Amino acid sequence: MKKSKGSITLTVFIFLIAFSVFCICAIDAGYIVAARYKAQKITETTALYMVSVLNSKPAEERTAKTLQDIKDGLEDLYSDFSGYSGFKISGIQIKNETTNPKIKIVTETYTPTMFLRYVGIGLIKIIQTSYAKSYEETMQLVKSDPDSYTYKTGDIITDKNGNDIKVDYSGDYFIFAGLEDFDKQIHWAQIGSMTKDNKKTYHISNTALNYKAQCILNKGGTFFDLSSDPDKTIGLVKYIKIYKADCTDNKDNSADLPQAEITPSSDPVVTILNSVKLIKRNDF
Amino acid sequence: MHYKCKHKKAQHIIELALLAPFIIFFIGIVAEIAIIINANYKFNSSLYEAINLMALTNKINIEKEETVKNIKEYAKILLKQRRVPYVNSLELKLTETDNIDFLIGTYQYRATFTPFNSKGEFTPDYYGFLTIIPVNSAILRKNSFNIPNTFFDTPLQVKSLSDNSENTQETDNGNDNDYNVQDFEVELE
Repeated sequence: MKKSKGSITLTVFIFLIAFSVFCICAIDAGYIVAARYKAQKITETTALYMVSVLNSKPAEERTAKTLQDIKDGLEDLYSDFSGYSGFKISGIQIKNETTNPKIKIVTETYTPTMFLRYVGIGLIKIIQTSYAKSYEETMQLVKSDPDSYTYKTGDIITDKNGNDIKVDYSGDYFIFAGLEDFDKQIHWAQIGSMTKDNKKTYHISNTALNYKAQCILNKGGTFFDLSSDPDKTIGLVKYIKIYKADCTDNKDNSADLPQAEITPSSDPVVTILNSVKLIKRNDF
Repeated sequence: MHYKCKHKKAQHIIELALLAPFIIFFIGIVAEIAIIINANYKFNSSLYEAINLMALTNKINIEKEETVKNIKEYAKILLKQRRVPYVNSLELKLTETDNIDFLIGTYQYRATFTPFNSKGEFTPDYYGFLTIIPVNSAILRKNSFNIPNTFFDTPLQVKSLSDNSENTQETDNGNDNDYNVQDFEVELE
């Protein structure tokens, strides 16, 4: 009888101590996992953004120094971020500076513990690494008729720093960017104004509608930057339409497009520039 | 002996009954902290997923504010599906810069067990979470695609800029002054 006095209390007390230690470790581990997830996302976004900025610069400017302002800005932003302290981008490594650069970003941050601080572990250091690269992709010709060519891309083109689209074509043309709505109907916007290359402004019309558009002069490779629109109204594009034209100075301005005069040597080639994606460490 | 044995059993039960509230309370706190950490994780992942979805959605003529609202609503749906409580406390604000915008998300978890408040390290009524997500500003743009596909069904007519039409719709966003446009107006005259 004496032996069993208070046995449950003792057992429960020991159990609670052991359980508390386990829970403290588990809770802090969970807390760190959540902080790590957030840090990884920030690192990935930083890598994608930095590689797109690099790719928009001339080859000689594709250095870590070019990214210094972005680095400082992000470090300032996340240093005061809830749940973190001392966020810094500790490593920037760049490869393939001349064509389609790749980047490796390493970030470091400290996250405070909830309970382990009472046993002397106040901060846990989180180091995250992310790899990204820029690449070019040729759009697929999905439809062509005597007047136009329509191209489609698998992934939506998102406007980024620098030029977004390059068109190689030996004739004059109007260019339109398109996107599908929820009913799979394509809607278009003319993007001829979004190039620094030579162009002329016309009114284009059919029986009911009339728009102003820029005709791109026969030049070969022409670059388009969706950011060059001062109002920045177009951010996502999935289709490109090249509408053949003749923009010579002495043609009859009010006539129909003279199809017979348009004799380009080959179909246009539309290339998506400055696409970026995350890559694995082995691909870096 | 028979009576002694009965007393021993009763003693265990009484001890257990006295300790049970503390055990339950302790387990409750642990469970709540686990739920809070889980809610924080789900809050972050739901917002990221909602933004990713919006980046891949063909949205046309949708204002920036509406896009932010849609991201918020979709994140709420994801949180509900994942059985995260207090979904309606989720708020989303947009901070715009030049090329990169920031979506600032906040979420509040209303606490049931608040024994640590006396320490002053926890918010008395709720646990607040914050996340700042950088996004490409292009994702939030209006996408003013205003030419219908039927426009290209018949061959187009082209007129020079000097033949002004009252019904002309601006598709170049009023950007007449950029690059070489003005020069060519002169040439066409």
